[in-house]
Amino acid sequence: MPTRSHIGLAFGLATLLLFVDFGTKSAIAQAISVQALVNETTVGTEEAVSYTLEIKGASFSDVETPEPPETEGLVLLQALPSTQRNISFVNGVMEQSVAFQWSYRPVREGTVRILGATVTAKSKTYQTNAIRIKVVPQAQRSQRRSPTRSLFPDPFARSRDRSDDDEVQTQSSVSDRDIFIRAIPSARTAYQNEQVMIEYLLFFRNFIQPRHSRLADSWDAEGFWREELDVEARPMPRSTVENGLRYNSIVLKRVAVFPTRIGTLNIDPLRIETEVFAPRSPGDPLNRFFSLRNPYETIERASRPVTIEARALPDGAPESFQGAVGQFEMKAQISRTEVDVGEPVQVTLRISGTGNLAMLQAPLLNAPGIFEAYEPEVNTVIESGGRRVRGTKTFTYLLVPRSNGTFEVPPIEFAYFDPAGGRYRTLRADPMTISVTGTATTPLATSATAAGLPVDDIARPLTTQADWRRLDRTPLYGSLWTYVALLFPLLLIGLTYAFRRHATRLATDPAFMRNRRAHPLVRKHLKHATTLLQQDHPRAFYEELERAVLGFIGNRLNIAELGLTHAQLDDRLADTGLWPATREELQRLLETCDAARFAPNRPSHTQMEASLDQARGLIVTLDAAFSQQAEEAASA
Amino acid sequence: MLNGACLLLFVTALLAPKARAQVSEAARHFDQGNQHYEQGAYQNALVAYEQALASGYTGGALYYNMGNAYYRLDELGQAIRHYEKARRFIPDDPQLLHNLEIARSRINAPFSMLPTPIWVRWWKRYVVGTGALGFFIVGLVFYGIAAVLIGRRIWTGTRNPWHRRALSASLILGVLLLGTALGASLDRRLDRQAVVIVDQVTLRNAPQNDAPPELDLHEGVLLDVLGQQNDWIEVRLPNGVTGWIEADTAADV
Repeated sequence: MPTRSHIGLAFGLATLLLFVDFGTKSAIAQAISVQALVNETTVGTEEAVSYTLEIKGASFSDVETPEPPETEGLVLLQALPSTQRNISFVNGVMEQSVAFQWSYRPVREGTVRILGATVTAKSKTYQTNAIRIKVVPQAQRSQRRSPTRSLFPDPFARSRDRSDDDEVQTQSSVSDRDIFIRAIPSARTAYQNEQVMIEYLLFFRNFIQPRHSRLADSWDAEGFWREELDVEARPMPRSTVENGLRYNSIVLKRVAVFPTRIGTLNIDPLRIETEVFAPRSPGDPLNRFFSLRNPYETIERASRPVTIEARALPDGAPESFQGAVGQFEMKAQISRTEVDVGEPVQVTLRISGTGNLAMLQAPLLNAPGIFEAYEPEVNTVIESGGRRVRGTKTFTYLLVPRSNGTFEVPPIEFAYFDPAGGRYRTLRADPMTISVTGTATTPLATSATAAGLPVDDIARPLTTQADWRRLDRTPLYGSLWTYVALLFPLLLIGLTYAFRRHATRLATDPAFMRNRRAHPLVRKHLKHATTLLQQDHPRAFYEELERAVLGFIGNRLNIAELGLTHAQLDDRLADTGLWPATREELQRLLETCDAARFAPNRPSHTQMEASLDQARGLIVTLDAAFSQQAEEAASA
Repeated sequence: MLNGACLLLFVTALLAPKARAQVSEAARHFDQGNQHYEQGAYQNALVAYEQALASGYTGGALYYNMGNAYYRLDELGQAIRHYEKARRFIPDDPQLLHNLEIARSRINAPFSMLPTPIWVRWWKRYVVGTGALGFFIVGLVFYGIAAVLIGRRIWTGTRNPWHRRALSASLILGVLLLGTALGASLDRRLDRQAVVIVDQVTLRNAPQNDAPPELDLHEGVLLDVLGQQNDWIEVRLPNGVTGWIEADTAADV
């Protein structure tokens, strides 16, 4: 059972050891922190477990003596705790702590637990986590520790353990729990090309001192593009508590990986060889100085392999997207905006941020065709000092104008996928206007062909345009005049044929000829009759009137009208089916004509006009009747 | 008939001065373009040539010089396109054929050429190259002679063997020449060609962006256009392979 002074010495030596070994600085004791620790997490059935509650940042008077924590599978050996207070000055800052310690003994084999303890300090209550302890048969522990070893180093324990040294020389005195490597990825799933940081930490108990660590095997991350991040060459151990045991940890390796394909990708474990100093009695500084054997032994440790689930980028990528994933900014600059023909212009594009910078491809610069564009010069600056890869990639485009004028370089677009926002973003530089002055010289061909044409170059422009043609000229097949020109001869042929046929019929068909002549003749007779009326020649007038009417009937019916009496004419007209009323009117007109020609009294001018109107009306009626009859005959 | 001819002459006489003015305007811009070209200001030369086109007139030399300016500006697609345009006016010009060969030697077009049937070559060279209007006018003369002979036969009833032979010959010649002229005219419309004017475009087997790609075409490749669907055109490569490209990646000849 350690006394208070013994515990105080142990704390003092432990603190001293911490200063000597690592030169660390304790945290400034302003905030209160409570930690629960045990001396071992694997004990024999006959061993005791020391359970310590450490309250940092508080004085003894600030803390109410806590109750011992409840257990599962352990019994408390003492009701009152051993206490320890410690005050130290680090860089002029006072750090104080208080510790309460109880001893427990296991009552069964297997996994037992010391449940969380409750501590009240400065009127605040703090709760610790439960600690699991593995209880094994004492036979398995006899070579390792004396059953009654406590957490605190015993300066005389070394001589007690000497007899065991030869027995365990061939075995490692440090277990996997005493020193191990843990790989901590920043994410287990990531998009393709998304940055994942993996940190490899070496955890070791504070009684172990590693040195001369080196890589024991090659480390690879197939399916990833990787970028090593800087770690300190002389790392400062950080104190941490894992399952009730206090460890120091240092960063062995920090690497950023970018999955280059989708699927489940494995990263090799990190395997190291290191020499460790592990005194038989942990925490005993005298052991280091008085041990007769080499206190350092070489051990090998490896982390677990890391598995990253890489998923594909979502659909809907912009056209300018070329695989950039991260968070970026873009700046575009032009070296000058006014140049002479042939002088180069530099367009500098700086893309900075975090992400797969080394894999970024040059954004497309759509310079106008008059610029001769060269492949961009690429300069990448990676800052690997932080916990993520960040840096700047600079693309320098060189443009050489070959003609004068004012030209606009369209905005350069750079698209990337932002995994934090889960969407694509497009950065767009401002358009740049370049004014080119001066004139270019036409390259001179070095030689010419037999025809006088330059070899490997184009011939000179033509100086004259022989025939200018209208741009809007309608094609031949679409022009109306084409079809008019094609149809006109056909039309002429048709007319010639029709005219020839008509002339032939007139010559060979008397009925047709008389019928065709009926109208012109009757118009001629009626016109003459009108003249005679105006000249007041009644007799000649009525003769002409009779000639007009009878001539019209004779021509239309193709009969010899001159030899017929009025009765015979009426019969012939009756045979044609002419209406009786019309026939009667015709007879009346013919009788009027006869009477006027042979009467002693001259007819009046009015009577002559009435007869002329009657004759006109009668001819119209006869024409209609004859046409109707001809149509009926044709249809029959 | 006489009145119609008089009216045509009158309208022609009215329009002739305006047409002459437009031609001289086009010629002026053409000369300006040549001056710019000689000074190495190819962009300005192109502007002047475009102004000549804007005046409503064109010609083989104008398109040839535009091709030269585009070549100097390293826009090979547009250069080849304008040389091809010029070829429709001056198909046998040795300078044009030389420049076209030089421009083609600089493009990335690793295609084997399907052999062209001899009658197609003959048709293109002697018929389409000569132009439809010449054939049409000569054909129309024979057609007119045939029409006169037919009319005479109708009117007079002449049926002697020489008349018959002359009628047959002029009718056959007239119909053949007029048919050739209309065929040559339609050929310009049906034989649509285009040239790739962007650095690279993917030929796909359907008019969709997600259709499987066939191959990549580079600037300056001459294509036969088979059809169009929305923003896509169906094209045939010189080696006979067909597919679809986006319409704005190629320009019509």
